[in-house]
Amino acid sequence: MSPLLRVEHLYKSYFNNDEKKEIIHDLNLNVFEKEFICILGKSGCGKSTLLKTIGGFDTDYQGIIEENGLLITSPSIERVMIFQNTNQLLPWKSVLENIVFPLKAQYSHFKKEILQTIAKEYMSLVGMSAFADYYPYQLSGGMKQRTALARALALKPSILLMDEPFSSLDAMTRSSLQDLLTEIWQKVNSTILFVTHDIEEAMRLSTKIVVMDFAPNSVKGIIKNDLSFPRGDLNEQYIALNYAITQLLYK
Amino acid sequence: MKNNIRSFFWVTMIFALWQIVYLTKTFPEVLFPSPTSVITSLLDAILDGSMIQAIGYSLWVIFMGLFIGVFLAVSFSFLSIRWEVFESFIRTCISIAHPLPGIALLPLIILWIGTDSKAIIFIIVHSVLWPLALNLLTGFQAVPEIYIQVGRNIGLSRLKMMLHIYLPASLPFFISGLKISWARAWRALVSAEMIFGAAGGIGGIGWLIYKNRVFMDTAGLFASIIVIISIGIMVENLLFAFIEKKTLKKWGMHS
Repeated sequence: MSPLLRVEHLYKSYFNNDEKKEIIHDLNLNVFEKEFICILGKSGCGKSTLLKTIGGFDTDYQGIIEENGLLITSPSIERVMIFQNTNQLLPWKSVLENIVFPLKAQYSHFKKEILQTIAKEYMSLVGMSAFADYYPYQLSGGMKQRTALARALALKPSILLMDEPFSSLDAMTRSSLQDLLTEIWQKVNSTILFVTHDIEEAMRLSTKIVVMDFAPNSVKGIIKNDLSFPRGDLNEQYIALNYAITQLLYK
Repeated sequence: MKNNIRSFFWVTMIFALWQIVYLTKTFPEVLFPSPTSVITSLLDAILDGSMIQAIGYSLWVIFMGLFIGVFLAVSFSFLSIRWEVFESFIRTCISIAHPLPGIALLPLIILWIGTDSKAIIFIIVHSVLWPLALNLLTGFQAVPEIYIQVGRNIGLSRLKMMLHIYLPASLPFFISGLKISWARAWRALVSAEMIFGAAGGIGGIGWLIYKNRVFMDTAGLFASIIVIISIGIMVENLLFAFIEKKTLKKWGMHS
């Protein structure tokens, strides 16, 4: 089986006052369909940068990033990004309009009613049906991220890119959104690339964990996560996995 | 509401003071008419249609000018986002033209365009275009990067990006620019009309003032001034407040 997404020998640097700072050094990664990959690492080690290059937002790098064998040259609805910033909804559009708008941009020949039906389906998937006519400023951070998730899913991307989407939420909201994401991932069979700096989050969500560190040790290791669902039990496997990750992270 | 009541109180007081000064007969009646004669004159002018016609004409001219000015300002700002070269050009134009009062252009406009409503519209466009373009450029630069990324992600074309992301995201700047533009245009309009007079028998509210002075109709003069003040208040306090309520306040974008 060929990978859905292939990153090969990726090098990425930023230039600051003629000073070159290497962010990613020789990174290789394959993402297969239906995988839930967490990219785990310390702040500033290049996780978000990696996601941005995969998203096509930043094409100034060396190496190969391919989706289904095609080079990624620009952002596309095949790879929808969900940002950490909870203000990613358009404030002048209601929850429903926020989800309909990208659909309309994509399927302009579809009737408005059809697009609204699709949007409502995803709204109910993330539990936002009761807030269709709310404007973003009236929503909590968690509700905003739920809406952003619905907006992304409605576009049926082949990969969902999530850049620490829950890290600015309180612990309880974060936990319920993690459960929701797992549920959705199992239900709609999506492929997810999820950046986080939280070991427990990575263990709870992923099928595979890529442990990153500062360049030149960009990828310290890739660990399979076979924990059975529902997760969260502090059993032997959990402790073993946690140990393996910590070993890699702090080695 | 409380403020409205207070304002109403003060307006009443001003009229009362006016009436008292009038009753002392300190000034000749021809220069200082009584409030009642001003109101009578206002009602007469409204009833015989001359005031309505003048208001209608002035508003038509100003909205034409506003429309053209807004269209140009938005187009220039779009082009500036697209091409940096254009932005430096338009910024230079703004720094040259913005400080120039429209009325100072009058002699030149008379020579070039003549004295009909086209000339007044030209001055209004001048008053509207530069402050609005300046505000829009600032607003476009202040559009949060994340909205632009979302727009790119969902594959918006350049035009859709402008119309659906840049424009609404910078609406607070657009509206405050429009307020400045309106204020300048309204002043320019009244001044220009007083100088140009009527074209083809129809004149605006500024022309009405001018005519009243020629006929020494001081009460009519005051009536016209009251109308000018009222329209200004209505647009600034009612129309703009309404627009803000339907947009910025509704969307929580009020800064």
